[in-house]
Amino acid sequence: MMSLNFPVVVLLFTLGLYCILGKKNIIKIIIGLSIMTDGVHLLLISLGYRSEGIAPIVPSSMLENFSEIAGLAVDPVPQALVLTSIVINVCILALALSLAIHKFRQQGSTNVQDFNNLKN
Amino acid sequence: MIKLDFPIMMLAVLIPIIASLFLPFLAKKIKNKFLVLISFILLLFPPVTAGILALNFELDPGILDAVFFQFPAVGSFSMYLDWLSGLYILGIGVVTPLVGIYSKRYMEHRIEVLEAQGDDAPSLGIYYMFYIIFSISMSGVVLSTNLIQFYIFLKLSVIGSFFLILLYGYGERKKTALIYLVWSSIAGFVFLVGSLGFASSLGTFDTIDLQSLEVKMGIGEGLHILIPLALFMGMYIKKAIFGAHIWLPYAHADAPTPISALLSPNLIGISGWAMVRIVYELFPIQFETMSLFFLVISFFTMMYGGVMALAQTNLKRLMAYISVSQMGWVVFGFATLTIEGIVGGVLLFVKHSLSLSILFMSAGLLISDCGGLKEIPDMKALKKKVPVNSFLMISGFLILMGFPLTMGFWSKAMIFSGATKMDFVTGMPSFLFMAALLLLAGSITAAYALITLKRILFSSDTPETKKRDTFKPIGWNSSTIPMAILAGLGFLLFFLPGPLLGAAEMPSTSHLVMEGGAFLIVYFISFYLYQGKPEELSRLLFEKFEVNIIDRFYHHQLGAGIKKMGSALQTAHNGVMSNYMLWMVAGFLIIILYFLL
Amino acid sequence: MVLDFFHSPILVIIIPLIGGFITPGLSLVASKYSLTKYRDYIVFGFMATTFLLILNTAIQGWGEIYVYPLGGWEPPLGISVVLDGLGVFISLIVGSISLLILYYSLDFMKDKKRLSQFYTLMLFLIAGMLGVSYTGDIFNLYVFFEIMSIASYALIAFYRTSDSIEASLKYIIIGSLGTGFILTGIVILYALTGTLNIADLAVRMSLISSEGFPLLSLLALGFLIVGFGMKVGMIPFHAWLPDAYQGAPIPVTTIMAGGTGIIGISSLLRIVYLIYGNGLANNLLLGLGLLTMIIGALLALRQYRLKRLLAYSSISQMGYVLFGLGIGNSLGISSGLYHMLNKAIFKSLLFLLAGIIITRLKTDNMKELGGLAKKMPITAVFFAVGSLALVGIPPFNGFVTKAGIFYGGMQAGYPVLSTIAAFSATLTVIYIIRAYILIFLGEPGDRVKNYTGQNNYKLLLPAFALVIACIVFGIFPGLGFNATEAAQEVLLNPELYIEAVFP
Repeated sequence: MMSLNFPVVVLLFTLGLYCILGKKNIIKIIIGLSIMTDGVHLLLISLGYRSEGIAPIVPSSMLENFSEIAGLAVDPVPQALVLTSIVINVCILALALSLAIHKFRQQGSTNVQDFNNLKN
Repeated sequence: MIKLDFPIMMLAVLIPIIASLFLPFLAKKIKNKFLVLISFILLLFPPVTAGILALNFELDPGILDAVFFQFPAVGSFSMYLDWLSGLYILGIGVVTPLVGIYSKRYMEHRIEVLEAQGDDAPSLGIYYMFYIIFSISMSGVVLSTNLIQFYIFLKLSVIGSFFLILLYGYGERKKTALIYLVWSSIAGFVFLVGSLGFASSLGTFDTIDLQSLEVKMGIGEGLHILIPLALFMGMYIKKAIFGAHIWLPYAHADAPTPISALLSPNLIGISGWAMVRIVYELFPIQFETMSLFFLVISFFTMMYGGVMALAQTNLKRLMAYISVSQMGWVVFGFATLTIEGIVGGVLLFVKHSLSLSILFMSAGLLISDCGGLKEIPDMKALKKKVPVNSFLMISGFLILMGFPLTMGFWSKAMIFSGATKMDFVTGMPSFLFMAALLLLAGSITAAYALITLKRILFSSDTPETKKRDTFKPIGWNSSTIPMAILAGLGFLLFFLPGPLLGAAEMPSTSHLVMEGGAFLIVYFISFYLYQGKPEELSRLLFEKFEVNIIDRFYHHQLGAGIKKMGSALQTAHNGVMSNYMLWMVAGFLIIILYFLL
Repeated sequence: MVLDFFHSPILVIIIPLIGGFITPGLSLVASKYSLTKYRDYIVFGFMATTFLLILNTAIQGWGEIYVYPLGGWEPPLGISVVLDGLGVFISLIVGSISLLILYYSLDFMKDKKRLSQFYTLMLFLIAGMLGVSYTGDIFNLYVFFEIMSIASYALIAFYRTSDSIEASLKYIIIGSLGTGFILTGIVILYALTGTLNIADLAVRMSLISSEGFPLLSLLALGFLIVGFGMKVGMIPFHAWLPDAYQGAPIPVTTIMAGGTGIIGISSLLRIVYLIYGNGLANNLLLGLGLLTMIIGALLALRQYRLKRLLAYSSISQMGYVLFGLGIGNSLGISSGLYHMLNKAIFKSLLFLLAGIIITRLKTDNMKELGGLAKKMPITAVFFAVGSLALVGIPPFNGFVTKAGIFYGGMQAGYPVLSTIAAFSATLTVIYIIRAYILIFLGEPGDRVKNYTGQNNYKLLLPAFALVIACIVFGIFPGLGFNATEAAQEVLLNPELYIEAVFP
């Protein structure tokens, strides 16, 4: 089952990249960004997965069996990382979309080709 | 070698530079007269210090200042005064204070003109600030003991002169200032690359060993030929020898005249000093291998500058080409690799800084006092109209030509005897060949000097020039007296060859008489030969060539090439986001490829 | 080593962060009683305290590596703050530049609306920069990097004009692409080694790579170089930079030129030199640095917008830093790091002066300026000092480091590349002198003729401090080389860093 994850990661990443590079609509580009980072999150969460693993929680009563539990438990670090990363990307997504709204109100367009006021 | 325990020479250079920064503020408080006096005193610091040291101690083997700055990767900054630096200090230190006095009247006039045109002309205080920075750092350059120190002072003097051209120049002064700065920077960077190469092989930028107190003669013998070549090419561009000379006429013609008068000692002096002190002394063997090339190119430069000078109609431009031609003489002297030749080259610098500053100053008087005379065809019969100026101009040209009874004679005579003592001059035919070459070059000098004199001083008035003949005669004032002092010095030094010749032997009297006679005869012959209309010929041959081909190549093709590259890049930065991201992804692919391969 | 004020390393990061959260509430209270001036002073106070703490850690821990485990969890389990030479050096630059810019903004921004947002974001930006320079954990580095980036995206759009929104939009898309690449790189590194602590990563990477680097680790390095290179403005990841600099408010432009670019380089250095070791990416940095300096300068030649010109010039100067770092010997690295400091000084100076000119004359098109030297003499003189320092004219600071970089290149056996680099310095002369002539000399345009204004000495004070710094660091190059010595040692000997983290 898990072997499917990695091709999906690559697929999502390239799909996102294609969206960013190939699309002219700013909303689609932002969607592509989100898809790309989701691919990375999937990669991250797949790294910590262990089939039939247990939750990585060690009660104080079971501290003497620590190594045994550690051998069975899934890796907790990627879960923490992916949560942080999701929060960060929500921030970026919200900010980018609000900027896109502003730009649309000012210029009446969502096409990135029109956004070229800044040049020499 | 004598080692001082206090950095006297360093202070003599640094104090005026720092003091000059306060001149713009001071200028608002005091009269111009006192401002000039203060500047004059500041400008006298290096020559007076050097003079006192030279009188109290032996110049042979030299005087070394206390070290005032030391840093492991850079070496130590000190100042070194010997016969060679002493002559350069003489040339620079005598001319700069006198030109400083001269500038007062001229610059007051220039600022008035600029303000009448509606341009902003910064006050005299700012002029003297940059002037002092420019001239004192030249003294700093020729006393340097370290390549980085040399470079720092060189840059300072370039900055000073750049601002002077930019603020007070003529014509398209901004463009000219930019051309000047860019070419000087290129020269500077080539030199810097050479000195960095030097230091990365030898571990030091010092040219004088402070432990054993010896000039590091021949230290670079084992180094790659490219290092001395880079050092030499930097000075070559700075010296505006043929091929890299294009910027010089622009700079000379458009600079305010007192600055044109100093650009010559700057170019010839500093770079000539560097050729001897740095390139020749540190790399004698490599210099020898390059010397034949320099002989040929310098001879070509002499002739080319002379012929180009004949074709000019603008007096300052003409003098610029005279500079080019004289630089050929300096390099020729050095490239003979004999002590006489080198002494001759150094003396030629002293002569050149005296004579060309007189000539530029008198050209400046024609601009400031005679209603803006710049073009030679407008100048007729000046002998009658401005006798004092004409007298000074004649003496300037006599010193320039190296007439007997002027100190210019010694320089030409020493180069002549140096050239005839070269290794491959063995028999009569080769001797005659060298003599003929030098006489040919001398004849060109005589031609442009004498013919110019004839054209502007002794020709008869045309109706047009008579009409505009309204200017006041120039008397003895604060402009002409400094010129007269310089001219007097030029004649006086003829009778004091002893200290000038330094280590070189004085040629025998019969030899001197023969040389002097030969030069005189050639001068008169050439005067009559060129008197016809050779200007037309040389204009046809060279002006077209220069303006159309070289000029275009340097200033149009090269500039257009850079501009084209710029606009090609510009279109790639047209503000479209997807292009930007393509750049990024392409970069990513490049990086991955780099790591994989 | 024991610090006297034990918690100062983490307080350096926490104070601006907490300050950022406090500021909105503070502004609510302040605007209610119309005391907004004091809100600004309190924000400045946060930054000043942070700066004092940076100085405290820097002075006490000079030349040594100090590890501060967060929450008492020892590395590699917990996240730790590692104060090595590089981090301290970077934090000193960033801290002092931020302090000056906040001081400048007190006056510069005082008429603007929504200032509470500005100061909040500014403090977050500073917290992010300091966090990146101090942290010893690679994911923590990413988080702080994102804090910094998001704050800067929002700050660029602060005026909400068409230009600034566009700049921000471009930057946010390209920037998030870059940070996405960084995240990917970090994830791949984690997949390979199973750790996030930088020192631990270095140890495990050296075990893995004993028989050559595995393909995945090189892929990760590629992703990381792209991400951080983007922040630096390295060609070909530079294209967003002129747009962003042009659209942003001047204090933000300045802090990006003097702060975030430097953070990008320091992160790149940590990863390339500490984790992968000296030598792997050197030729890449050399090549890209050379390209960056030449293309940046060529593009700057044609610009008529002052901020855009300075932006391209920033790119070009970063090229020198990258070139110096790519040389890989001690002189090259210390000159490169020192040039980073110098660049921060003179670039900030030029941007601050550009801010003064643009707000006074309401244009940044240099064609409409001209002859300003008479109207604004002090600004003209300061700008001249900044330009000369940028060009590398001896009494000012640019010369020492440029010469050091070329010299280092010669020593390391790249004479041809160093010569090309030296020649590209000539282009710098052309574009900056051209700009100077267009702005300060020549025919005054209509705007300049009609301009009547008084000098605002509050705005000129930070510029004056930077002018003094230009001269001091030029005349006493030893100061800067002493400061970079510790950083250079850490980069060339990663063992020092590793030993300090795992004693």
